[in-house]
Amino acid sequence: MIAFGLRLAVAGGREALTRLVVIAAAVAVGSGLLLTTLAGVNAVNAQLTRYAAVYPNASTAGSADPLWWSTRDDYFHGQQIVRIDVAGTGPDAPTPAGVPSTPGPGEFYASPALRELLAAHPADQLADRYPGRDLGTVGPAGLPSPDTLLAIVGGTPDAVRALPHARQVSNVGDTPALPEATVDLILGVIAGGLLFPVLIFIGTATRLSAARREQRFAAMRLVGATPRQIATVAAVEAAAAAVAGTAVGFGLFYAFRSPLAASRSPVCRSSPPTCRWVCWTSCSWRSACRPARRWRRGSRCAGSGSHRWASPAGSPPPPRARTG
Amino acid sequence: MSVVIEARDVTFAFGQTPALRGASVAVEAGEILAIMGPSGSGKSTLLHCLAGILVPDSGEISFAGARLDTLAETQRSSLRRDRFGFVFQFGQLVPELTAVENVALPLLLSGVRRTSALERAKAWFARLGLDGLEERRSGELSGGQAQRVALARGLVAEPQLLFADEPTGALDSLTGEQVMDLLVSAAREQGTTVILVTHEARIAAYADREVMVRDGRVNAPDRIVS
Ligand SMILES: Nc1ncnc2c1ncn2[C@@H]1O[C@H](COP(=O)(O)OP(=O)(O)OP(=O)(O)O)[C@@H](O)[C@H]1O
Ligand SMILES: [Mg+2]
Repeated sequence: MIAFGLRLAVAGGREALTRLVVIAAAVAVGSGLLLTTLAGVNAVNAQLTRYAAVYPNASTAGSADPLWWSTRDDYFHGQQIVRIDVAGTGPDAPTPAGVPSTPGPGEFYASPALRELLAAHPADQLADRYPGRDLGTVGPAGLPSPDTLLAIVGGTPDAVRALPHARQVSNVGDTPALPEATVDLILGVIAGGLLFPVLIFIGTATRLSAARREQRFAAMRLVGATPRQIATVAAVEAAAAAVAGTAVGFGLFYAFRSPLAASRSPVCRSSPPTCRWVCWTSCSWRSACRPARRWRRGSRCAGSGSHRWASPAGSPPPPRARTG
Repeated sequence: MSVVIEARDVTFAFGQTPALRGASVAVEAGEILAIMGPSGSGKSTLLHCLAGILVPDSGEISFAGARLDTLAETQRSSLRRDRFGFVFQFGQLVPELTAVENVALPLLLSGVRRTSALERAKAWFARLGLDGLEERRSGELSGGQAQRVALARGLVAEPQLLFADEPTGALDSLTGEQVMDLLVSAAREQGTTVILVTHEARIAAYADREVMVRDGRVNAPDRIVS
């Protein structure tokens, strides 16, 4: 029956194929949209989290020793360089994101882009701004983007306290940048504004084909297909559309994602498996399985004595005026 | 001869509309029975009750000596698949399938392998003058061709009983007679019992016996009005 259902779905003539393609396309748009949205929200969230790692909020809560922190902007040939001055006040002070340990006075870390810039210019033009011992490279967790020019420079607490925007920080980068409620709100707006029309489109596409399905299933019941056989055929058909649609949706998503990723924003590349799973279940399958449920409802009505199932839908009513 | 299927005092209503009010009829093995009567008299309803498509509100249907109306839907489905064949007025072919697949459908549903099902189905095309139409879909067939494909499907599983509801109702009279000729000769050849609903006397004339349905009851055969 499974092979038979597939046969009906993909090799049932031009009309059946059109139907499959329309439903699959709707599912594709829906799942592609949802994937892109989730990845986008996730990307923005991750991006903001990394900004939070560069511009942490002042906080003195907790028993940890605070870290003195100052973020300043510096410019070289018109390019912005982020300079973070830090000074630990004790052994429990937090460590800035992206580096293994807080630099002490006379030590610094540089981002990969800054490192290139340093190498490309004479020391008296740029490197002299960061005197002392180079401890290494700032990792991605501390960078809003891979090409961010950034230095984390160690100092004494007294020196850093005197810098502009100096603040005491007791934790760095572990507070989510977007509150959950905000993420929900964004998703809700996207769902309402974008997915709802798509769902209506899917609904219309499936309803258009419902009459035709009804006719086919009536014809099959007539020749003795059991309710289970018909349910199998309906489910296989729905699944074919869902699988095809989801595959295309993933294709769309990856096509969309590549240019985003190419914009060198590292976080656009993230879309955790949970997101994909949510897409799979909530969007494509639900909407594509609807015709099967519609049919089940239809069959229950038919079972209660309607004549419709004996004379397949689509046939005009028998002439009533004539007499034998 | 023995009675193969029988309705005893069957009533059936569509909601508030009574369609059968105590209909009784018995059909003998190998017989071709015509059920006649005015439009709306309950002919189709009686046929559907006999075939186990509709379940009577009261009364009994027995097939081959056993109650049919008390069977579960699944059992009636398999009975329809294995023992009964159907030819209706129109709309009975699955539009997504080719003609030969439509004919093979009852065999496929009862688990016959695809290749042998199609083999058996193809044999009917020559027999019913349908050569070369095997791969057409129902939309690409004329009314008479579609009706012959439906007839082939009704007979392909070599049913004991063939239910025909106005099988020529959508055809012109010449095409209708060709289909009836084929139906009757194939049924006689296979020994299939035929229950034929029609309101045309010319079609009823192909039958061995005629009964008349009026107001949901089956009247004596000698009171036929044409
Ligand atoms: N699906 C249905 N819902 C409600 N009433 C129905 C339905 N089908 C038939 N009826 C009614 O039941 C009665 C018997 O109908 P049936 O179809 O058995 O008549 P028929 O003798 O086959 O008529 P025809 O020659 O026009 O086909 C009629 O009054 C008809 O209106
Ligand atoms: Mg009728």
